Amino acid sequence: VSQSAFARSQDSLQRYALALEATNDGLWNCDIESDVVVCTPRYWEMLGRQPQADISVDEWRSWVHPDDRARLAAVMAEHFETNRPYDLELRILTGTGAYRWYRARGRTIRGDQGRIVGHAGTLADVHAAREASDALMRSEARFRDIAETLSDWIWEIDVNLAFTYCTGGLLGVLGFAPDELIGRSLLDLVMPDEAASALGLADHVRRTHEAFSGIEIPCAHKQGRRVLLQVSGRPLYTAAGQYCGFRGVASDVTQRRALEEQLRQTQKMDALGTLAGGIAHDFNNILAALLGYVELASWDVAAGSRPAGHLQEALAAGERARDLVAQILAFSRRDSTEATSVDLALVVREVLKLLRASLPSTIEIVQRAAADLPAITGNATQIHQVVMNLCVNAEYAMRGQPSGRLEIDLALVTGAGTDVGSSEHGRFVRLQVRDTGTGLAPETAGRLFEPFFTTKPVGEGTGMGLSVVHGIVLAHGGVVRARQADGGGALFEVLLPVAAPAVPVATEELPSVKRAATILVVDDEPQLAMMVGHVLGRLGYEPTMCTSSLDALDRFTRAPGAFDLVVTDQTMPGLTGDRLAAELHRVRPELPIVLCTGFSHQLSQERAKELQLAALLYKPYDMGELARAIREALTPDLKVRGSIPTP
Amino acid sequence: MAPILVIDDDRQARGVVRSALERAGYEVREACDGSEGARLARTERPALVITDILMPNKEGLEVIRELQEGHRSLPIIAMSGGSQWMPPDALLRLATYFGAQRTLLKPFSLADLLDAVRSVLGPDGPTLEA
Repeated sequence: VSQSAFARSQDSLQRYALALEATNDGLWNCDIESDVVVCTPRYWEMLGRQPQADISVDEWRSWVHPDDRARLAAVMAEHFETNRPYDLELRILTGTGAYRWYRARGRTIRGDQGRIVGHAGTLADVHAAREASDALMRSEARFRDIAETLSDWIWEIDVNLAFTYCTGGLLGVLGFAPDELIGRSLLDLVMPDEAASALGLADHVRRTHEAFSGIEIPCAHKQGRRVLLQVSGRPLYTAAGQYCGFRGVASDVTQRRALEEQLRQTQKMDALGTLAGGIAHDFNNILAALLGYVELASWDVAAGSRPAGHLQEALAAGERARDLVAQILAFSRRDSTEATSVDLALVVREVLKLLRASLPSTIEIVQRAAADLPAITGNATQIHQVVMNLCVNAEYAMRGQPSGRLEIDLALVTGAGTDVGSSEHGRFVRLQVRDTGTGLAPETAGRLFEPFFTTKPVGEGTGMGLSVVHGIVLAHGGVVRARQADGGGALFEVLLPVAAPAVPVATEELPSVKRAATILVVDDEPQLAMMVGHVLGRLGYEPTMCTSSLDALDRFTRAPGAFDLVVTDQTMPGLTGDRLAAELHRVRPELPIVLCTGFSHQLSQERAKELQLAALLYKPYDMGELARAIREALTPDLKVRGSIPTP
Repeated sequence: MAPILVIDDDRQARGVVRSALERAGYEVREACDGSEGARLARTERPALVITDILMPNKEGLEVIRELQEGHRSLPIIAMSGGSQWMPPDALLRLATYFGAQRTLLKPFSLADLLDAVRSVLGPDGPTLEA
């Protein structure tokens, strides 16, 4: 019975083979009882093997790639159980010794009473398609990995602006898991009161279907805070060319924009400071004449007369103008900080002692200071002014309230928690002044530190107090900022870098010293002064930078023993370098002075000798030259022994 | 009495000092920069020099230095409103270091000016009331 069934199936095979010639598939037929597989010529051709009349099932199975055998067995087992045709891809060893991918489809052939007598099927060469699909899968995995590890966030939206796909970067950017966003509208993410840019984008997307790039949209983080997203996208089309949405990338540019704004603000303040400093002294001269003539006139009018009263008012106004100029000068006086070690806790105590007498008793003062706060380097008078101005400002904000609280906190913070550009060693003393007043309106917060910006009524404030704070803090390498305090009121925060311990750094390239000698660096170019100071600091010296020769002379004459050496530029307003050198030598004839000059014809070696300079350097000089000149000047016997290491 | 020499490049500032001093009974000479001031100091033999610090041609500090070297007992009052590079108090400190007896921070009151002049020349000079 079985024979005839198999023979019948063999007949069928031949008939089907003819029919299937067109499909390019190979056919096979397997007899269970005889364990013989019969295949069509096309089958053998595909495997690159010589046709065999019949092969055993085991032999055939041995051609299957070892990694695919278990899968094959599982598929067959399932097939025998369910009797559903099977269809799988597997690798088979070809006549060339290489494996290729084939698609095998088949089913069992049943005889009388449904008994399985064999099975038959087709084989198709799918190697090229399979390789292509593997490559595609690898490529997909690669892009998925990239998309998911990006800190930026990749998204897709449909024609209704609803999200259809989001990468994990979303969690970092906006705090949502991708699943939370799928199906929600793009507009759900937008900061409610800043929807204009998003609505514009939505309109563009709906109407034009054109790619866009670099659009900035203020969005709301899951926790409510504002995140500025920069978004780019391009339209998506179905295979049929139908528009079906957009795909793009969004980056969080909140921090970048904030830093840019900070930089712009700093530049603006710098410009204003320079401008204010420039006009302030002219203004003093004008006021001198104005006030002088008013006073002269008052001598000639009868005391108690009406003109005398008017002149008195004019004098009072002039005095207010004079105070204002003094404040402008304080704001612009960035370079004349005389740095000493300042204990901020002590300054705060002093200010509060002064303030307590003048503050109404309805204002409670709370002072907290971390134990063992390190000192900062700065000008004690100016730091005093910073604390004073902030406290007075806080008091003003609480005026007219039945009660209030002024809180002053001092703490040590590290650079990581401050988002301030790093200080050398990353540690800051943080001063916080918090009031329970009216708080900060968002529109004024950005302008608080501008000179002449004030929210006080005319006559109650000049608008200089906070800009003076800003100027001083900046000159100390610190940061000042303001924000709405939790629970209302304003919070002002000042970060001042902790004084760096002098650590001598020896480098192989530059001669260095063991002892920390103090050096006064004088150059009217602040950048140059800073650069030289920085290099000298690296070499283990203690530099003091001065951007005015007159200021340098002033410092020196007040403490002639404070400096071991002076490095000065030649061309400077006020007092040129050679004249400064002559003045310094009047006070201390043995003081070593290194003069740097840009134009060789300005100062001859003869004049240098006459001035008894330790060294005359011509610009541009390299820092090795400067270091050697300083080292020789400080240890003159080195020169005689000739043991200076060459840079 | 020998005159008081006022050196300032600002005409109005010079004028107001002159007027106040004359009103108080002093005789006054004016110079509009450091060079002229130094020259007049030699030829006019003033009892006192009142000089600004930052001026064209020759600066006040140089004038003070020069006058000190030529005529050590000549009293000098320095006045300044500061400069773009330096606050006035620091400039005035320098002036003292160079040899000025008294300093005046611009803008100053004329009463302060006359106080300073009297403190240098002595109380026996002319007075407003005289």
